Amino acid sequence: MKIHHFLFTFAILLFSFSFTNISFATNYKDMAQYYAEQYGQEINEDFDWDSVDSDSDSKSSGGFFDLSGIKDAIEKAVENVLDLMLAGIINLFIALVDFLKNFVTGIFNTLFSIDSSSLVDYGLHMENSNSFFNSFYESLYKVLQSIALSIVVILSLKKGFMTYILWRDGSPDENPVEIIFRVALCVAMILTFKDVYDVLFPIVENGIRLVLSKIEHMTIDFRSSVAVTNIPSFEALVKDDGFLKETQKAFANLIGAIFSLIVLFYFIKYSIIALFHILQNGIEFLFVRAAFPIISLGLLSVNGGSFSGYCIQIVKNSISIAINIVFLKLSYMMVSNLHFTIDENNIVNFMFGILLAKMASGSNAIISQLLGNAGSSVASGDGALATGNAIKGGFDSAVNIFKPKG
Amino acid sequence: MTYMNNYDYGGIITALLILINTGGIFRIIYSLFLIMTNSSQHQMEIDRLKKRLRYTVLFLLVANSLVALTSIFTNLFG
Repeated sequence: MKIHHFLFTFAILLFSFSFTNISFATNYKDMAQYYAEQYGQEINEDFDWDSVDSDSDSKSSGGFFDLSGIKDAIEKAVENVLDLMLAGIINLFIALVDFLKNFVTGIFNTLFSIDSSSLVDYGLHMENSNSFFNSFYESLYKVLQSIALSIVVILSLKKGFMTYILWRDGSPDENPVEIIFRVALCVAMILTFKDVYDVLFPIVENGIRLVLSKIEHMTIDFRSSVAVTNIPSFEALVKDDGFLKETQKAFANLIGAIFSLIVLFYFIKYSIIALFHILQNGIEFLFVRAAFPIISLGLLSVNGGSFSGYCIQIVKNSISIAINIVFLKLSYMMVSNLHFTIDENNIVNFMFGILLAKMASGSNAIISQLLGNAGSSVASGDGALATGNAIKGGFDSAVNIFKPKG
Repeated sequence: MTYMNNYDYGGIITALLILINTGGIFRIIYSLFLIMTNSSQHQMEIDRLKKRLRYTVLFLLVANSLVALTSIFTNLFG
């Protein structure tokens, strides 16, 4: 017999005890009337019977063993304890739901200032969104640009030496003026990529923003969307009358509150994962674009090196992130402006919201196969591996100047 | 180019130029020797050799002018 069995039994007994009307108080007026009827007389109605009734106040001082007042107090305390416990639990849930709503709204609105255009900037054009990333990207790009320009001359001379003097590499029957063309192409790519990207990419970005604006306005204010309604107030619960009705209402809404809490928790979890996925991809994309000069060294070789694969990967990456941004916005649209009850239709909307947020975090099967999983932290999927191999190939061609051909 | 100047970029380019020019001169001399001491059996090879020799000389021109242009634009040796 464990302690919680005893406590449960005791609680049920107290609960049932509060419905009884056992009163050990002395009602003098009734006693007087009874005896008056016995002797055929009538009581004096002008007498102030309330002053001698011990029901209303603990005026009875009938000696040491008069427990009527104490029993009154115990009854009231027992009724109030259950009310207090229930009120405490319900208020705890109210506070938790309010905290979660404010927390999520605070994160999204204050830290990230998320609306459609910000998401596109964060996902694909990170240096526009943050001054720190802007200065970092500028300096990184300048350093890599100067390295690449230095390496272009050395690589081209080395290649020409191996081809036209040692007759070991490439085809010596090809006109060496081609070297000048390839060097010019490489230098043009290195010098102009950043400006061309800044001019051409906003075309793509504006296209994505147009798609997002056709989806209706995005509201992240969960305060209006998730409302735990009809919770009685604290004072209503501890009143003597109305105990049954208020707690019944409270229990029904408590179950609704617990369920809504679970669903809200899942939605918040997946939407935060999706948001972080988009931000992670934005940072990775920054480094991918900064390493572009090194990759364009592959243009010095006849087959173009790993340059074309790299460019294809950039395009695939941006398309998949654009799709993820649209998914995230759709998931927000699903759950915004809803009053959350255990209504069937609203639950379906929340389910769609959770599902879309999960898909926005990169776990989509068909799109991953077609476009490569953008921004995957695990080295799986062709996307991340191909990008890594492309960067590796660019550096290998720079490092293998003095490697003997085997 | 300012980055590589810290690592004696000019020295690397100078070494490469010396390598290319001396190697090219040796290749030209050897190819001319092969052409002059040819026999009629290897006529196709001799034509191919002449074409390659032309391209070797052209490459020497290209390489030297490339380095000259880049040194003008980057003030390499100054």
